[in-house]
Amino acid sequence: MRCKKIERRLERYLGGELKQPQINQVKLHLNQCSRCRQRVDLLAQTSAILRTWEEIEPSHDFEARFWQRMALKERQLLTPSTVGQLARILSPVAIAAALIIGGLILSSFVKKNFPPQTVNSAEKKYFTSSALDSFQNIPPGSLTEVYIKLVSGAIKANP
Amino acid sequence: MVDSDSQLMAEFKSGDIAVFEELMKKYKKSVTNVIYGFIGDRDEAEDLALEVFLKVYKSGKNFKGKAKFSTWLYKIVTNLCLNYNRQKGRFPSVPLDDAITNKGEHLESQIPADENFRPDLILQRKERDSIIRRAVYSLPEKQRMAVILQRFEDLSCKEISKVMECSLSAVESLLHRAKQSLRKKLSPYFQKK
Repeated sequence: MRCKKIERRLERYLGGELKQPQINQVKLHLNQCSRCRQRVDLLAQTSAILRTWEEIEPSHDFEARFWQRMALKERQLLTPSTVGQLARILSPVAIAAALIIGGLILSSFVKKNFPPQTVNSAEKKYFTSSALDSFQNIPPGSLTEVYIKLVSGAIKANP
Repeated sequence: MVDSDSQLMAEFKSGDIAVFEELMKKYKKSVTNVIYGFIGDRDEAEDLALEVFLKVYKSGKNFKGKAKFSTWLYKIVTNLCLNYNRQKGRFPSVPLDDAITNKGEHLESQIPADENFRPDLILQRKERDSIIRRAVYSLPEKQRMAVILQRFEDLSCKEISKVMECSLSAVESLLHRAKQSLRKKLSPYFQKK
């Protein structure tokens, strides 16, 4: 077996994770290869040094802090700021809905109280004549009178 | 076969909160140590460990019991650590703390109440510990996580591959490369032959 293949298996070899046939293969290779023997030695030393890496103890109030944080997170779900955030998100929707509903109410109110009125022919005649009357009440000598006369050809503009 | 912790999780899912406390007591030290080894800041490590248990508490219903509880737990730990690194950037804002330079309360708790204690030995031990921590911290994050899971959890390569969601040969390779660079960095501590 090649050194490279053995080298990869060394971690599991030292960790006792290989099956017996694989262990035998590694052992056989190690008996023949001094470089791999040295590798095993160095790997074992590195692992031994890592084992001297000391563990720390979590603080004595770890559980108490956990439950405190849990309570805080649950409270945060209902805090005014959360409600405010929710309101901020929902406010454009609420305004749009209010405008639509208001518009519908107003239109139904207008329809009920001010039904659409149709103009009959007599009224039409009256409106037209009163409009023409207002043209006849132009003050004499005013600019409007001069303009109308110019347009109708009653007076001629100077070349 | 269902492992005993998975059994406890099943009980927790059916509403027994005392069982959750039991699991937290059992794993709080190892979870804190894995995170501390990975991020290098003791206070932040404990803070993240609390977050891990909050996740376990809240997403307990997602635990199907197909994998071992510890595998599921360390998957949460690994993801939180990697996310933390992404948020903080590659390097921490505070240098790696060790008990000597950090807050007095940590140092006090480490000094034994023994008459024969040797401050020089304690300092030596602390110094060596700090060097190991820094050497491990200098590894790329996946190599670092593999080494830490192996050291603190005694996880096999197969278990590490499940936690880190990669192949067995990838874990072998990660550990192999990690140990190679650690060997160089920790060379003063090797026995001369």
